[in-house]
Amino acid sequence: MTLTLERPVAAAAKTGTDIRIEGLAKTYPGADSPVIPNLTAHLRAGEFTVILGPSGCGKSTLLNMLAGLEAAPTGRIVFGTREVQALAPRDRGCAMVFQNYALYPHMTVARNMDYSLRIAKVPRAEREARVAEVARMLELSALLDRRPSQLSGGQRQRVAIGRAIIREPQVLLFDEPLSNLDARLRNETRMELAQLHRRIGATSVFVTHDQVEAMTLADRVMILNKGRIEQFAPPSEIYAAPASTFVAGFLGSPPMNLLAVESRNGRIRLPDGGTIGCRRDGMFQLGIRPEHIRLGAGAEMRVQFREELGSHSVIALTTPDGARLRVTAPPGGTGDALRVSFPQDALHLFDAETGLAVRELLIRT
Amino acid sequence: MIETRTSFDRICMGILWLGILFILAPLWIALMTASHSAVDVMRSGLAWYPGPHLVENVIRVFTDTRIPVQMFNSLVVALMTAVGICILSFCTAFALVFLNLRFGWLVFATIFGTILLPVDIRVVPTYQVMSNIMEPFAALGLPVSQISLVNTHIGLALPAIAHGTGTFMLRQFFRTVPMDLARAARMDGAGALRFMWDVLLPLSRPALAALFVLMFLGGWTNYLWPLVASSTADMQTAVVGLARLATDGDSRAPDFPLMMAAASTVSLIPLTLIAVLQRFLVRGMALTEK
Repeated sequence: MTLTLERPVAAAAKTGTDIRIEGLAKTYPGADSPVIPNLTAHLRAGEFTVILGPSGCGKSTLLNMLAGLEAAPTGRIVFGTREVQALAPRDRGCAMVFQNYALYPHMTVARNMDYSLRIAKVPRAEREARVAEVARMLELSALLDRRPSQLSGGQRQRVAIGRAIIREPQVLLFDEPLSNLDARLRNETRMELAQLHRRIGATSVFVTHDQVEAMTLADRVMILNKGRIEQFAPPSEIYAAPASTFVAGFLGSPPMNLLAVESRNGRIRLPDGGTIGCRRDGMFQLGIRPEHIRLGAGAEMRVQFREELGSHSVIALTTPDGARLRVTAPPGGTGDALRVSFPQDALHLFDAETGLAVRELLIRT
Repeated sequence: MIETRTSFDRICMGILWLGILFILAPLWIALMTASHSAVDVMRSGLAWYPGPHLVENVIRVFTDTRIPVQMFNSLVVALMTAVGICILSFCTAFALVFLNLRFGWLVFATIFGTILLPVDIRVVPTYQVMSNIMEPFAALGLPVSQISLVNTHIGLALPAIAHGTGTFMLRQFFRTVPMDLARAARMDGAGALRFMWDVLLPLSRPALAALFVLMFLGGWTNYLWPLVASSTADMQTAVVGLARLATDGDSRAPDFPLMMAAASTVSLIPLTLIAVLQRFLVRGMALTEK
């Protein structure tokens, strides 16, 4: 019996459901093109999905439609077995953490957290028990009578999370919740979030434009561009095998180098002087990550500038064709030119027209 | 920060004191004149120094004039105006800011029009409506009887309530409230009315207090409409009553000490209100949350 008592209330509750998004589309009134043309995806139960994309890619719209804050006129959203696209936010069993905390400034921490329970007419004793439990979990017990204005940024963030998880939601939505914190706190809160997710087990959807958040938090990352899914895969896969030039140029710091190349007679001439076999002739984009370029051998290239980052430096080179190539190198190097070569297994190939990865066309020897 | 220098500070203080003198001098003269007898004032004009008859003159205001009952009228009308405006503009501003109205801008422009067309320049049509508020229904051919609000407290307050200033003020305030609060409340399961009551109303308290004070003062000092819409002395407001004291003197010479005593008495209520609610007034005018 004592064992069950030690389990947190929120964790003892239901775990998440899976989310099916089918043919979801949205056009804002007066806009020429849809924010989301046609989106279909399946988020697994208990999974932590990060939706990543530049501003205006439709990621917030998608989150709002999942939450019910924006109407979803076309398509279906299914939580588990329930079709929810026509339901009000409160009936969907999901909760949301907002970018600027959005705590009620005139209510205490405890009131902020139990406001939803009051509206749902949960009996007082249960409300108090749940507030105490969530507060203990988030280390807010000593702060329950404070107002948001008396809390630090990190504490406010925890209250916002507490307010979301107190209802034991099956789906937890995060709208760029870390973007308001300073860099150090962001790192800490990110780790806390990851731990929390493991304990609660709710299916989580996290919107951000920060690739570090995406890489560290996500089970799978959904990369959105103009309302379309560019790639939906685990972070390691997105890094190792980007599905398009958009993904390649978006992820990684500095991002992948993309160089225009031509394949003639089954061979592509590489900027480092070498060649690689290709199964099709035509124009392509050759991709290589700055950290995969080998230094010290191959073609000599002029240094445009260096950025010293302490742990390493980023050097911008000019290729013989005049394109810019970024390389990461050990810190503290000097000189006007560098010899670089491209290891064959680090090369990516993208179709010049569609931007899609055509890695299988390369013949590595 | 603006640079401060001693000489500059002194000049500013000088101008400030001049301004204060300019504003206070008439009040001082009124109070001093009220403390002299009518005969004294007839002989030597308005007074700059205190005399022995202040209490006597104030008692005469309460016994010889209608000012007390008119002050009560003013109080009722000003309270009705202020409360009415607060309720009405809270609701309208809420709709304009938080509900996604299709022609919201048009509604707002229409409301804004009432600021450009105050009651003073539409006295005649306003009087016409107030003398039979059922007239629009009668014009539609509905069998309704005539209801006149002229010479009633409601009739004195209503035209002032239907005014856009409050809506405009609260709309500007609501636009500073983070939109995410409304979204958070929706996620918490609160409908529009609960959000309005539980979240927006407590947040708006300083803005509403400021609006209340401003509109109460406006209602208290209104002159033209109460003058037109009240036909008996017992329904007139204090400001109208004060003006009547000067002109209703028949053939007698005007009783300046009595008029000044009445004016001082009538100013007492708005002055008290400003003194008590001053901090709300300042905070609400700034319209920002710390």
